[in-house]
Parts: sequence; structure tokens; C-alpha cells
Amino acid sequence: MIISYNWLNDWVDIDLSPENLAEKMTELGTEVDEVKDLSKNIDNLSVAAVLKRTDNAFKNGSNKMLKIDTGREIVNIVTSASNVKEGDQIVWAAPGTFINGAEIKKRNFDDVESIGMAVSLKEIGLEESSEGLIVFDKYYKNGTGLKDIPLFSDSLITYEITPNRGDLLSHLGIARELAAYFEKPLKKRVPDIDLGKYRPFDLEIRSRDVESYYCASVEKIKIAESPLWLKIKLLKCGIRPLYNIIDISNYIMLDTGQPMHAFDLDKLNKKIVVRKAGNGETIETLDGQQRTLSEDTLVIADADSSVAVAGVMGGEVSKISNDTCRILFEAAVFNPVSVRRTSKRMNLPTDASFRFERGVDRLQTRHSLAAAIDMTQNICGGEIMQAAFYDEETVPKKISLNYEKVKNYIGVSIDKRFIDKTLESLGISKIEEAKNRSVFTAPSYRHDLTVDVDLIEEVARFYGYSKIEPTIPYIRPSSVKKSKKKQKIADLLAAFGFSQVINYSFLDKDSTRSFSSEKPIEISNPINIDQSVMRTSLIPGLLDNLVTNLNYGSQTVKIFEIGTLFFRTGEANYLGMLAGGDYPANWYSKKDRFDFYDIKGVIELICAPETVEVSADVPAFLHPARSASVILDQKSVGYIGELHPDILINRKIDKPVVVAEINLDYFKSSRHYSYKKIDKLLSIKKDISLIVDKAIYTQKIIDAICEIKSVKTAIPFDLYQGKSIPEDKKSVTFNVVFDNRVKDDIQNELNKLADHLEKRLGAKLRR
Amino acid sequence: MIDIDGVAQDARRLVESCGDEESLKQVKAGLLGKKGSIAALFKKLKEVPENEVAAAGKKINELKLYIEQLIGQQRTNIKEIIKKEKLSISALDITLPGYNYGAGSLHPIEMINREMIEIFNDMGFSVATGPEMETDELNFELLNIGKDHPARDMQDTFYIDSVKGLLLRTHTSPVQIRAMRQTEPPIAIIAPGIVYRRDSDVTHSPMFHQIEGLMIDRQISLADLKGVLTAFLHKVFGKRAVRFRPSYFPFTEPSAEVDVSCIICHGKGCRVCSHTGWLEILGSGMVHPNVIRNVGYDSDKWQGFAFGIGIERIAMLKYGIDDIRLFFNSDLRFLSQFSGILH
Ligand SMILES: [Zn+2]
Repeated sequence: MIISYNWLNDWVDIDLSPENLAEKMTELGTEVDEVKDLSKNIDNLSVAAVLKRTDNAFKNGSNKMLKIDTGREIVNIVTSASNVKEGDQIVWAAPGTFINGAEIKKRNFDDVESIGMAVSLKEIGLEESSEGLIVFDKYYKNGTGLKDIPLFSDSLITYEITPNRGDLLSHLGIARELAAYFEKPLKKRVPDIDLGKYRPFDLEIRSRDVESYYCASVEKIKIAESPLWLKIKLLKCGIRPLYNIIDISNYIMLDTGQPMHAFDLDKLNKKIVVRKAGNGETIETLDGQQRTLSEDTLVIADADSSVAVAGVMGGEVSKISNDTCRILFEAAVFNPVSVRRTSKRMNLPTDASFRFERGVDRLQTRHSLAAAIDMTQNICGGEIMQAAFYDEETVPKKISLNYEKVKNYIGVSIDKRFIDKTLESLGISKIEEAKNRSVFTAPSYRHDLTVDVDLIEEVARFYGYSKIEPTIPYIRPSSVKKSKKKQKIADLLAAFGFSQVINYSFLDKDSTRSFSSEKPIEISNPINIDQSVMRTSLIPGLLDNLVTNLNYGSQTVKIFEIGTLFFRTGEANYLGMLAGGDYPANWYSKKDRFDFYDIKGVIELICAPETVEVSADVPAFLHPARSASVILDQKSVGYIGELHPDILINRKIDKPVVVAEINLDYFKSSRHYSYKKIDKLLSIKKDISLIVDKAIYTQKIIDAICEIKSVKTAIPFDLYQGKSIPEDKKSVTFNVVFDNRVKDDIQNELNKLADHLEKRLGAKLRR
Repeated sequence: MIDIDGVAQDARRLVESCGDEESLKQVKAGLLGKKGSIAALFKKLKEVPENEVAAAGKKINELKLYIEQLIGQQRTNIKEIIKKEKLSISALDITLPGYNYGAGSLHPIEMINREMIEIFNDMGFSVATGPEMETDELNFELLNIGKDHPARDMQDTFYIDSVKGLLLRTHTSPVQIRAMRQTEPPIAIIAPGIVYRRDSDVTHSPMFHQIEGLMIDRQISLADLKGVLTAFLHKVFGKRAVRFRPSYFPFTEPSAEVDVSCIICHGKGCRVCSHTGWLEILGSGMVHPNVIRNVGYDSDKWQGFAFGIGIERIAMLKYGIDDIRLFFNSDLRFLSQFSGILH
């Protein structure tokens, strides 16, 4: 919302500069975005009168010569605008004036020297583009500087209201707030009107969604352009002037916050009925759209059909046109929820609906209508013929305020007199008084004040948030311990050279489908189709990240993500890892690509001392012979594997990409440690090599070795296939640790082990 | 006469010039052997007057001891030198990089998140979490944002199923509702997590991170809110001006928007702070009695404050990042700038 500083001064005397006023408004809770000083655009501009206009004097047929009286001299200027005639007063920019950063210089058109230029609203920053020059419709002395005319020398304040303060969407609203704070009276006379003295207009209210409805007809009016002052006032607030009746409506809305509507009375059939739309009823709205109404849409109708969508937009049929001469002016207040629902359903947010949704003052309706009719008669002529009005009966809500609670809530002892004075200045009336507690009612324009804490905020606002002395409360110790599981895993992975990424939780349907058999949860209103379902795997995101980074020129991509996956059965925390591209260049190993064990090693560390078991049951996007699912406590919690070559080919990746994805919810969030007595006897270490079938998993051999009671651990440390070993066999060497108790009998134990492995796996011990 | 000093000097020069065991042996023989320098000195004792013999003899004996010491020292030196020569054969190029896994990194959002959680943990707040997919009831209704509340426009929502009221949470406030429903007051929690809003440009991301906080006890006031948040902001941004100004949130009343003096221009006004000198950092307020009642607490007994802060915005300010999308496009050229373990 934009308001004019001068316009505000019509309502209340403001002693602050526009900048200081803006700061005060922000401190009071209405955030100011910008203060624009219009007087910066009008230096050196002044009023001049056109003495003579000469057309057709130039090769360029659209150029005209104007002889003007600038108040000090008579000069010639050349213009292409055609809206001026002899006797008009215009705005003249003297040579040397800067307009939008460019200097106005004397210029020659054919043989004529143009001294300065004539200015349009565009040049002073009020319009995007202008059709003609500014022509005054009121007399000023030639040579008067625009700086001395308040209409031009003004500041514009752009601010945002919070959704609870619809009452601040007008000059009156802001003025009222400032008047309360600075303890000043509102200056402007609020016009009133006795509608009872006119012939009654046939008005029928058939819905509870109408809070007030005032209307009056004005006849014998003339539709025309608005006077300059009205056009400029609207432009300053960001509204494009159209013609007088519409401009008056908008002016009233900016002035008092009351949305207005005018009907062409000749297009209305007899009466006004405010009612809910019939099923399937249609209306063509002012924007030219044919709209079907639903049964809970509140409409303004005549005897036949609806002529406006209440609080949202008028209808095309009854709209004001150039030859309208009888109008019905309407000022009404409709139920905020009703308007909001209709505007949402029609996807038609308007200035009016924005205000109605946030609450309009029902007691202001009659005054706004009075002001509109006043203006209409002044600007368009005509006389009032008929009128009608309706007010819903209401009882103001009582709010009981405990003075002790004010102190308790704000944390500062605030004088009772200050509380009373503040509330009074804000129009909040005290209707009952007791020692510790008084009862108040809020003014009709403050829909946001309904309970005591609302009044406490008013007191705090006017007391000043900045004056509240900060205190530190005692926080009772809590026994809840935070799980650091994710944090520790992230630290570990970063230490192992992985970079943490965060991807969006939404993905496109297709990539989700190729990485998970789960049916994903769909978003009903996605921003775009690529982000339309909730992810059921972290891998598609990580794979995209790999491709992006390889395209950016990265050689090695080691990344991980800890994030949420969304299943129809619920959400789960997952860890996803990916290593791809070149193995990091180094001088100590020949390794040039990642493989399965790069990630398996890390997963084992994360799980330790719990052991990871693996099984071959893996998703289809993994390399079938280079992948494993991760088993923890007999449950599959994820998988590790190289991506299937088909996937790599599709993305033109030539080196293996290893990924893992595990469900972190299966991992304990903290470990319970308890000490076991240290076995002080030295254990016995023996290296044993054996030859087994190539297909036998090393883990199976380890398990078999550990079946011998005296064996404590067996760690594989050499793997060999090739010369001197049959083609279908492999040689594996283990470092086996035996219990000290078999020290004297170790040969016997080794023999036992050899027999056992022979029997279990057909393995031969190499001696 | 007997030149003790001369012999001592010669002996020292000879011994120290020995580079190996063999030459040291020869020098030793020349000094201490039967025909050596010391023996020669003893012979000369005969020429010494009677009354000085004892003193001279003592001196020669001392000299002998000195030489033996010199030889012993030199033997140790020679051994050391030989050992060093042997070790130098296995010398390394100590400038080669050590074995490592490459530089990984934590995401900047994770770092800021941790920093903030730690500050609140230190003050006594505990961490609470909840699901990202929520119901309309928990995300809006119980927070005093009814179906037709204009405040719904402030938080453009992603819906999963609008009939059943399933949505992606627009703030972590539902976590507060869940926590309050589970625990009796007093309560002091923070709720960090991912939230979603249907909005996307240079400063808005459809998914972003938030930390919300809640404290409920018998007498918690606006002054306490100011105290806790000022302490927090001073820890995050250093001691700079903090401004509280009235605002509006449906779930708090009174409400306050909190600004800190611009960390770029220090209040003078610049592009980052839209020439206001202030940066809007968090929203806060006294929890609305309706919310207190909605979770089953007695609003006459319990009161307190709540606040919410966007992590991305803080990270952008602290690290000078100008495009929010950088956090989510996983560009290693960006992420690797945050490597290192001593944060
Ligand atoms: Zn700044």
C-alpha cells in the first residue's frame, strides 16, 4: 500500500519528516518499505501559459510549436503532444533541468529553437507512459514552481500491513493510528448524509454475510475525465485514473478504506437484492470473464440476475460507460470469510477483496457513501434521487483486562494510567471499571482486538518494545538427551572425504520410479512437473549431483546426504552415499577408480562394533555381481553397490559409481558402554592359507574358522588366484588368533581346524 | 719442564680428528700406550725437583684421565655418525602429501544449524523433532490459523491431499504442538528442521531450514523473550544492536519481529539491508492463549514465548552468499569451500 504524506496531513497534523514518520510507523508495527521524495523530480519545473500553438510548421508533421509565457519571458518550445490549446497552463522545464538523469538543452527543430520542454506526468515519475502534457485545470500564476504546489511536492510512503490490521489500508487508518500515538485530533470532517430524506430505493438483503449495505442513486451526471488533482492523487498511490466515477470510487477507498462500487442504474432492473447465487448461475465480470457461481457465492443482483460478485468484482452488464447518466453508488461491508472463499475459488484477488478479507469498518460505510456522493456532485454534477441502507445488528464484544496480567505478560511494571490512556487514545472504550480489572470494547474498525492479550499488545506497542528491559528466565534442566547420531555420521563421512549435500525432497515421477519400487506420494500442487512426487530414495538426487559436478569439471565426486524419505507407511531418516569419477589422484597407489569396498569400508565403520552382514538381494539399478544388501539384526537396512552399467551408459559415465543407502532409524542413537575384564594372557597368532572354491564367500570361511572353539578372530589378509592354483579355486590367507589356553597344544588345534574346513568347505590347508 | 697443557691440547686435537674406530685406536695407543705421550711424561718426572714430584705426578694422572674421557666421548660420537649415515639411506621426501581420503565437507546449513542448536542447548533448551508431512490441523488449525485466515496467504502451502488435510509443513511449529501435547509444562524446546513453501527465486527456496523455539512456564514474559533472543543474536552475530518491533503472527500475541543492525554496513544502509540499516532475522511473540488451550494447557496458569528463524538467511548473511539456490544444487565448487574440521 502506498500513501501520500500530504494526503495524510489532510487527516492529522504530522510534525515528523516523511523519513522519521516512516521509522515511527515501523516501530509501531507497520513496516515501511520505501519513502519516495517526489520533490526530487520537480526541480526547475514551473507553470507556464500557452500563448499560441502553431501546427504544420515542421517537416515532422506531428511537431507543434508552442509560444509560452513562463512568467519571466516568452519563449518557443516544440512538442509532439496534441492535448494543449491556446490559454492552457502547462508545466515547463527550463534548459538545464535534469529529467531522469538527462539534461534538457536548447534544441533546434528545423529553424526554430526550442527553449526547454513541456512536461508530462511520465517525466515527473507518476506514470509509466503518458499520452499528453500536463494541463492544469486550475489557475496558477505563471512561473510558480511545482515545488510550491503540494499536489506535486510530496513524499510517498510504501508500507506493508500485517494481515490483522486491515484498518490501516487507508489514509484515514494510518492517520488514526498516528493521531492516537501522538495524542492529536483527527482534523478532517467526516461527511454525513441523511439517506432517510430521499425516495427509498428497493433494497432486499437476503444473506447473513452482509454486515452493512448503503446505496444512493445520483442522476443527470456526466461521465468524463477526472480533474488533474484527482488523477495525480490516484497516480501517487499507484492507481491508474480512468474516468470520474471510477476515480471517485478509488479515491474513497484510498481515503477511508471503504471499497465502493457504482452501477449504471439504467442497466439495473428495478431493485437490488443481496443474496447467495443460485446453482449454475453465471455472471460476466468486469474483466470480461464469464464465471459460473457456486451456491455459497454472495452476489448483488437486480430483479432478474446477479450484477456483481459481492466484495470481489462488478459485472460487465451494469458497468459505467461513457453515456451513463444515472448511477447507483454502493458502499457495503461483507463477511470477510465469505469474500475470501469466493475470491480464492474464482482465483480473483482484487483491491476490494483484499480489504474485505482483512475487515472493513462497518460504521464507516455511510460516511464513505456520503463522501462519494459529495464528490460525484462536485465533479460530475447530478442530484441524489433515491437511497436505501441496511445495518446488521451487532453487539460489540466485551474484553476484560486484568492490569496485573499486563505487567506479567510484558515483564515491565506499566502504570495503570498509561494503560487506560493508551487504550482510550486507540478508541478502545472502557465500559466497566474495577480495581484490578476493567472491561473494554474495541472500535468497529479494529477487528483484531478480541481478547485481553490483544489489548496487552496495544499497550506494549505504545509503551515501546525498545523500552522493555531484557531479562533472562530460569530454564529448568531437562533430562531429554539429543541424539547425535546424524551429526556423528556426518563428521565421520566428512573426515573420509565426502562432501555433504542437501537435495530437494521432491523429484520427478520417472526418476523416482527407476530407483524405487515404492509408489511415491504425490504433491497435488507442485511448482513444476520435475518436483511432483516425494522422494523414496536419495540415490536419484545424488546421481544428478554426480552428473552436474562432472559437467562442472570435477574429477572426483564423493558426496553424501542425510535426509528424509517419504513412504506411504511414513517417513524415515536415510543416509545416502556416492563415490564416482576418478579415484583421487595420488602418488602411493595405482587405484584409479572407486569400487564396492570403498563404500563398504565406510559403512562398516558407521556400524561398528555391530557387524554388517550382507546378502545378495539388491535393487535392480545396482550391478548384480557387485552389490549387497546390508543386514543389521536380521533386518535389511539398506544396500551398497556399484551402479548397474546400463545406468552409467545412459548418463555417459565411464567409471564405476558406488552408492549406498541405509535407513538410519534402525541404528541405535547411543551406545551403552560397560567394561569387561581384560584377558591378560597373550593370545596365539597363526597365519593359515587355504585353497577353496572360488565361489565361496570369504565370510563363510571366516564363520567356519570361528566354529573352532579356541579361535577368537580370523582376518583375511591375502587373496590370490592364478598360477599354481586351479582355475576354479582361490587361495585365501587368514591371520587367526587362538585362545592362550591351547598354547601347548596348538599343532593339535591347527589340525582340528584343517579337518573342519575340509569337511565344511572342501578347503585344503596349504602348509 | 713438563708441558701438561701442550700435551692436553695436542691430545684433544688428535682424538677429535678421528672419524672411525680404527684411527681412534691408533691415537689412543699414541697417547696412552707404553710408548705414548703420558708414559713419556712420567719418565720426565725424574728431572723434577724432589719437592714438586708429587704435585707433578698428580697433574699427569689427571691429564691421563682427561684423555681417557676424550677418547670415550669420541667413540660415542663415531657410533652416532655411523648410525645416522645408515638411516639417511632410507630418507623420505617429506614434502609429498600424506595418505588421506581427500577433503570432505559439512554443508554450510549443517554448520549454522549446529552452531545455533548448541547456543540454545547451552541455555537449557532441548531439541524436539517431528515429521515433515503434517496435517492441516497441526500445521495451521491448532496454531490459531483457521481455514479462512488471511495469514494462510503468508505461507503458500504444498498439499499432498487437500481433502484429508495432508500437507508439507510450512514451519516447524507442529513440532511444538506435538511436544506440548506430550509433556506437561514447563517446557523449553527448539525444533530444527526442513520446511516447505511454494515459492522459488533468488531469496526463496521451496524447501528450507528453520529453527523454532518454545518456552512455557508460569511467568515467562516479553522481557524474557527479549533477553533470550538478544543473548542468542549476540552469540551468532557478535554484540550489535538488536531491534524488536511489533508484528503479527496468528499464533503469538503480542508478536515481535527481530532485526539486527546490518552486518554489512553496520546500520548505515546498503543494498543487503534495503537501505534500512537493519536485517530482519526472526519472528517471535508470546504464545497465543488459544494455542496454549488447544494443546490442553490451562492458559490462566501457563504462558510463554515462541520464535522462528530461517537458517538459509543466516547462512547467506554470515558467509556472504547471494543466491539461496547454491545450498541445494550440490556444486562441489561451492561445498568444498566449507571443508576443514576446525569450524
Ligand atoms: Zn546494510
